[in-house]
Amino acid sequence: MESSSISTKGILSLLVLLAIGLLSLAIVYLRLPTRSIFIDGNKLEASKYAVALFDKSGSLIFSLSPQNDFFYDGNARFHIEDSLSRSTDGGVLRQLYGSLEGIIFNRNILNWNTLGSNSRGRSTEDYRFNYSSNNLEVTRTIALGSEANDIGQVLTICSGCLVVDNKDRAYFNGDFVNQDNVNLASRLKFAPLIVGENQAFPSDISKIFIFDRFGNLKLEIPLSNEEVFLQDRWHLLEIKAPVDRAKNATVKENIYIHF
Amino acid sequence: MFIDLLASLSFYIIPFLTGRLFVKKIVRAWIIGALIWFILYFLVAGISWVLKVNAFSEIIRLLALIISAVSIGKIVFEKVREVFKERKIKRPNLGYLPIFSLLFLFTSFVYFFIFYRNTPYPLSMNWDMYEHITLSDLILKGNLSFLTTRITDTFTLNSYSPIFSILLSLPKAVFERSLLGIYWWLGYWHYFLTAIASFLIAERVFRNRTLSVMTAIFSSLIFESVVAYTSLFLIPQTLVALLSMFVFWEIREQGKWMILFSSILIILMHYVLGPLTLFCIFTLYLLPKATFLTPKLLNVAIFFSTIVLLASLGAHFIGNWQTLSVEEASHFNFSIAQKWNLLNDWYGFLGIFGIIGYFRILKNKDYTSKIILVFALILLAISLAPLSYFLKFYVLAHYFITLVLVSGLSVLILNLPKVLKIVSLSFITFCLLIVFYKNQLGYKYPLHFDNYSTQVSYGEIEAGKWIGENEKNAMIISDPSLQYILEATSGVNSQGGVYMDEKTRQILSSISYSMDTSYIRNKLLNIKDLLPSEQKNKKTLFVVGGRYFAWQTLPQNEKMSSFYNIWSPQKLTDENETYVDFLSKSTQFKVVYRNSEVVIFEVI
Repeated sequence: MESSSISTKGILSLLVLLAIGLLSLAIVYLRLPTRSIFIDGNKLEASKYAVALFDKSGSLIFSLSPQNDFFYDGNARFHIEDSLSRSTDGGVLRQLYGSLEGIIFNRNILNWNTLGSNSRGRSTEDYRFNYSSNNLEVTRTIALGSEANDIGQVLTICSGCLVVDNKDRAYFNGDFVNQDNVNLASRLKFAPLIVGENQAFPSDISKIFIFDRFGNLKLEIPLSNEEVFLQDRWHLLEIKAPVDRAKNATVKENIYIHF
Repeated sequence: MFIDLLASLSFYIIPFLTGRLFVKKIVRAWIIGALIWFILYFLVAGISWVLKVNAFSEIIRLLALIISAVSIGKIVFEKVREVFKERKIKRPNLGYLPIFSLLFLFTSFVYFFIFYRNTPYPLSMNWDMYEHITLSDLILKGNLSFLTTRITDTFTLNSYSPIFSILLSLPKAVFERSLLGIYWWLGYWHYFLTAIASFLIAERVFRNRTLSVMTAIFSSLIFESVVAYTSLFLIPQTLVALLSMFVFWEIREQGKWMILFSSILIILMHYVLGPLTLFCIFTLYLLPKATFLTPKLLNVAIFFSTIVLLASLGAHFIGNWQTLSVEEASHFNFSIAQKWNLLNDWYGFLGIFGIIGYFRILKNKDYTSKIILVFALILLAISLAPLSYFLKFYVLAHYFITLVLVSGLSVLILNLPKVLKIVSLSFITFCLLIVFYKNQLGYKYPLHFDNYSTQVSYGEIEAGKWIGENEKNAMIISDPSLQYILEATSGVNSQGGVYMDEKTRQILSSISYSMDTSYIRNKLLNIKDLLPSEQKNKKTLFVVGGRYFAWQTLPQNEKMSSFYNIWSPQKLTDENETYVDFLSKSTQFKVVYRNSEVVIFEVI
């Protein structure tokens, strides 16, 4: 007869089973961390300092890094991480959750967790990339040493790429106008518009488009009430989103990718 | 898709119905049926050759239909006679049906919902299947020989007879459909059957339903993603292992003749794996009859098997074991660290159950468990030996190791009340499912194309179909991967498929940077099939696709090796299109077909 109460041996067995199962999960996530995912055959890959999207030929489409992202305290602007000391795939539990989403919803998820510091102290920025039907949803969860009122989500775009809005205006910084880009803009019938590095794009825009140097549309970013800045010199496009003033913030950005 | 589903079932049903004319048991009937078809094919090929009749496929189709109809008639007659004799209709004995239904649901979930989720019909991730499709196509054209290397130069080794391709050609002959879609379904049936086989063997070993179901689950979720591929791909080596499990299951009821027939089939199916399988079969058949056998003696055997395993592992640290001079072989001789990593990928930490199982079996007095453990240790020792391709033997080890693992698991659940037993087993299944999920993602990593996990694209399938319909008597020349796939999807010959010989590789490599179309043309026309019968003058189709250009960018040593291939489809880039334009503007190359991945030139 099987006893309904559990013996000491039974408890021990349970603990051993639990340990074996958890160790298996730990081993599998340590051995096979998700450092990259494929989206329509293109690779979104996490390295130590950035997450980058490469097309099928291996050319960079864009990259993201906490060393480029900003937080705003009043009008003062700071990098979220001036130095990045560690980046991981988010740990076993995050990975496990990602796997479950993969199994149940066929989601293609990449987690990238960074630890660094800025002039205000220690900071962490956690990225979650979720891709479905051309839309790459980027969720940034940020923990800072001080409070922030805005987060600048920065995209390092491809060299020679053109930033255009939904009113067919192509943006350039006055000091760094690239003649090839101006020619490309006129060929594609976009009106050139000069903005300063710290000058926001006009507030009447609802979408930003990125074209490569061959005139192919690569990215499309819808805007709601964010401000947009361009630093052409470093190929940086910043989308500044307001957050509730706090040390922790979560911002979401949707990037529609055209392959 | 539905017809291909039916056709895939006929891979199992036609040999079964054929053998059913002589024996009633399912496994035995299939074995006898498979052997009968092997003989029939050679008979029909011989008679056709003598009578100069060119209707091999039609004759096979007719024979398959007649034999199946007669067999079905016989089964119906037997059932009716039984009813009349006993004057009542027997209540059907459901037997294993509920368990098999459960396993059907589970394996369907894992296969279609996880592994093949992004591989829709008829795309595939089974790289080896194309050579078997090519061989089956040629066999159905009456091109039959005992040596596969004499049928097509896509086979460079005779490591098995053509029996697997003969059986594979049966659905194609009967349903007159491409094997690509049929193979898509066959992959699942094979997966399901490995779970069934594991369950049945476990029933014999454990005599415990829960442990048997757990064995089937373990077997389904342990995927040897390199070389062995036991459960997820249907190829000769995996079929031999599966078949041997069904033979083991019935070993006590098998007569000498049946053992002989099984042995013949297993040897024909794989010359390397076959003898080892037979060693296991004969041991299992003969040992229980040995009067001298005692648990103590079996423990000594376990001890020696352990020594053999340790010696096999230790051998990695002594000298160089690279015995084969074939370049490819060096890539299949893994270091001890690589093997350790593979085992971690396949099992996670759940392999620890194996050690617990080892001591449990050592301690108990059950003969069968002890023999299983000896097999597991010896097969593991052979599989992990520092020799090229030996990991292939893991295909057989898979089943025995799974039994030892579940034996270890049983120790831990023994003292648990029913509810906690269910909770524990569910938790372990969940952990194993996660291990499998991550492991299969690793396998799929290089196989991305658009949103699919695949080694072939719709564009390539379309191109193959076009060649098959319009250029039956041509010869395809492209990079090894693309011509391998096109040869299988079109039924039109290429030089060696993916096993293209070095001379052809050098010719292709030499035209890589050439902008002289006459030079390219002359070089291409120098490529000849290795089989004299295929060397007659044929139209040459030069196929350039994204894969071709990607292959041309590989380093020279990789281009000369059959180990390095472009594993996933590739689209033509703008740069590739420039080359296509350059060729198409010449008088020596005429575009006869094109899509976004493939352009086919007729070399004039």
